[in-house]
Amino acid sequence: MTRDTSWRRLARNPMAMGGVVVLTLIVLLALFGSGLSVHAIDDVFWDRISAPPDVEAGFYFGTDANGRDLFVRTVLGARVSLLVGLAASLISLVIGVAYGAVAGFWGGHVDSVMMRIVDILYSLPFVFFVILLTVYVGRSLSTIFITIGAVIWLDMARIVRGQTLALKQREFVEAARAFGATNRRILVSHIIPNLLGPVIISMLLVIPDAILTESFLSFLGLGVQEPNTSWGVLIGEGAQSMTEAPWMLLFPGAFLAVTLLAFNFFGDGLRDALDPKE
Amino acid sequence: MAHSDGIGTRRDNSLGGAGLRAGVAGNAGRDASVPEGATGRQLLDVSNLSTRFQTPHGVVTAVDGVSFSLAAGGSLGIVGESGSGKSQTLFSIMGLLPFNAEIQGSVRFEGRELIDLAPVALNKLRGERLAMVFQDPMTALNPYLTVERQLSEVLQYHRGLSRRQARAEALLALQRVHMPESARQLDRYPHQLSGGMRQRVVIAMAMIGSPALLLADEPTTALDVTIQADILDLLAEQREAGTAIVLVTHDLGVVARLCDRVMVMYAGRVVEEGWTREVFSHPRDPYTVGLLAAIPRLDDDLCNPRKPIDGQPPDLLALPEGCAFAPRCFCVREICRRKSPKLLEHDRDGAVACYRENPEALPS
Repeated sequence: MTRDTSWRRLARNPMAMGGVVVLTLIVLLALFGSGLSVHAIDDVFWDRISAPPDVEAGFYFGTDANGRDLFVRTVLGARVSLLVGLAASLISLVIGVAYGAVAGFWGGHVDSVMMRIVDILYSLPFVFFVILLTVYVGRSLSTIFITIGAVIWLDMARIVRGQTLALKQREFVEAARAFGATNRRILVSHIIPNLLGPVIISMLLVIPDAILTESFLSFLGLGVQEPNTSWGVLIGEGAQSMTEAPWMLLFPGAFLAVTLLAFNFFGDGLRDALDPKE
Repeated sequence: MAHSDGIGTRRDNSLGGAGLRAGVAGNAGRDASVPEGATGRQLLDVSNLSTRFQTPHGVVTAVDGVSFSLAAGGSLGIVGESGSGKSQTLFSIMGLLPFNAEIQGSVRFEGRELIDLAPVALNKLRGERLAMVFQDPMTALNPYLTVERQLSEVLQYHRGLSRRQARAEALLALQRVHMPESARQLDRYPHQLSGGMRQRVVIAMAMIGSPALLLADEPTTALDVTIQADILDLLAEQREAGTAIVLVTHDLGVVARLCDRVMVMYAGRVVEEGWTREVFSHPRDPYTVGLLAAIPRLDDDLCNPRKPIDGQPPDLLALPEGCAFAPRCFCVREICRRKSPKLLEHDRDGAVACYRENPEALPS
């Protein structure tokens, strides 16, 4: 019943639906977009180093400093970036919400211990952490997921814990208790639904964070290895030749910006649709 | 504390056992009635209940040696100023105290001791045998759940009904509290309802398990006067149907209307207890006298307005040594400032804690 009306509300929100359409297009492009290009990701054209876009020759976005087609690289780079963003928001959703809600709800010593663990993870130098992981896990794409996953949920846990602390003082939680609700029931039926607003917002904030962290890790040589690429890597390269070859920054940057915007429109719509007061 | 040993032994003298079939026997029939010779068989037996809070500024004794009992189908009003411990008494009974609270004494409900009852057993009782109505219906409902979900949650805790059964039950519960257009309200959210309708939902939630005891914490304070009357009628109806009610309020009119017996609290202690009619017509404790004298009446002389009780309610962190009301009392004696009076029974089936009424309690 409730769920139906929420979906209907979401479907009636043009901004949210626009976001969904754009995201779908980008995902489709990431999956099948390489077929639109006549070039492969590692084809090197010695005569076209840092060349501007040339639609007739099939270089829709121009080429990079190594003479490779930027279109196919942007499209394939989307795979890694979208995956990283999605994984990061899922990890912060699942681990962050559960961790923060438990800490905030139980409070007392449980809360103290759990939040000190978060503090410790926060204060670990990130690069040191990365190096440790690389030693033990080795260099691969999964290292990226583990590294980002290990730290990305910390913010969410803190936000959720704070919200839960405030929520559990509310009278309806007391009322539920007075009607015989168990702790688990209160957490699932009363606390978590009321967390949706801030949770969705922080889930979305995590995506650009993760995508940029991935590019940093790739820059360190830990993430994506050449000739594979990601938006973060492309943006990093583009930023170095911003003045002489602006398209190298412009195209991957625009893709990232549009994706983030679409995620935000969708997230706002989702939050409104789930909030009965809207 | 030697509070009120016999207060629980109420018997409906005029009607014998007729009060057991509560709701049928009219006004007198709802008087607290107990099976013959069943002193310890009250529905609710609170004895020597004390609740203390550890605060950064010291220990606050919110409830101090409170004792009372209530028969099945009976109704008791607890009145007093803010901070007199009346709400904390209810929360102590329900086991809804924060972590820094320390509770002593005994709360027996249907023959079971509630204090130190295991959480699982307590959860089974709450909502099923004893339920609570909260002060502010604006905050007592979860803003993210529809009315149907709020109600069926309670059913699901206790009976594990299916969704459809729960919905049917929820509708019945709404009809029982005379919710206008009840079927339509099921799918609405709390913010779409008026204050009075929300309080009806809260009462429906409380009554959905047909509890034996309903604890109401100022159920009309947050409502308009006209709505208040409706909600009081609704509570009276639950009482007629046989549910015992403990009502906490600072509105003496509400007590006069709804409760057979009344208990006046001051600074965590019971200062007077008795039949509502008797207490209101012949108040014995100076505090009760002051409370009653402060109620505005239609025939008041406007040039000579009513006087509130002088002074402030006491600071629970720094209670005076003797009677807590002594600094504000119009008939304070020297002994009152040294030793606080005990609650002693009097011949009109009530009890009062004041040296003026109980001169025999004066130390010789």
